[in-house]
Amino acid sequence: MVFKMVFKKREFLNIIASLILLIRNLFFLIFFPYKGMRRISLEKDYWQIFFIFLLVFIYFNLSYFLTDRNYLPIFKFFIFLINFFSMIGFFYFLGRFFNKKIKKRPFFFTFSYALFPTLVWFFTALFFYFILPPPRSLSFMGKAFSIFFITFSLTIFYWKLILFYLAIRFSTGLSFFEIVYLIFLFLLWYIPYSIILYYLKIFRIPFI
Amino acid sequence: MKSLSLKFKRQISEVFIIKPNDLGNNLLNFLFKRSTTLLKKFPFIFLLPISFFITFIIYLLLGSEIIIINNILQYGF
Repeated sequence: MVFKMVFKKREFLNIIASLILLIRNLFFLIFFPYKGMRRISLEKDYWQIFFIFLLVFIYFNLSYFLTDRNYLPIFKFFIFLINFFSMIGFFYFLGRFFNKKIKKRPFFFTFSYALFPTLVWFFTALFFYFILPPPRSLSFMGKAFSIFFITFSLTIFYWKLILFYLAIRFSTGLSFFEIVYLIFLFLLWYIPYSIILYYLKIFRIPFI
Repeated sequence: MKSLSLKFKRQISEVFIIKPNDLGNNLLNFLFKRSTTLLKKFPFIFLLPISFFITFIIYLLLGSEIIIINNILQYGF
């Protein structure tokens, strides 16, 4: 009984520690993305990935209850998991052509943390959908908000590009040109795939 | 002292987990290092003005039509 309690307490403390590490790593990705992603590629604590996926699941639930009800959140989450693991698989197997020594574990951590800008954008878009619902008007305030929101979206997009590049760099150890080549090959199948998801109304903007 | 040395060793091994980027040309390497240094610490200082500048150019080109892009984005999740 005592052993069980000690074990539970230890488990609980481990989870809290993982949560603190997650928050620390997120701050690193904002202030020191390069150093942060390098550290994340060495992580071994899978609870952190669990919390990131939990945030993704919370987002799908929120968007389901607050906006459209096309697909169940669990279905969208399932599609997200297919996207996520097929993306990791693609970079892992193609990365092995250039570097045989690459491991699977850094991929899970770096790509999970690279979801952070995606989550920030989708949660913010959801927030603004209620504060200032579209469509925008042609008034001065309408245009000003449009400029603000597009600037914000572009900034998050560039940040996502940086983290995406760093995730591939620290998972595969490849050089800049090799990574650009891999991303180009990735986009060759991912863009048509995203268009299919768009027409099926699963994801209008790709959730990667 | 021993723990400091261990910490230093760990830091060094962390820094050298991957080889430095080589773009095959000294000038390219120099330019790449210069530009990426700016993005390694709080990149938003550079990303935000660049994004604003691009948005402003879009506004100058499209005028009021800019709200269409915003609507696509706002309906996009």
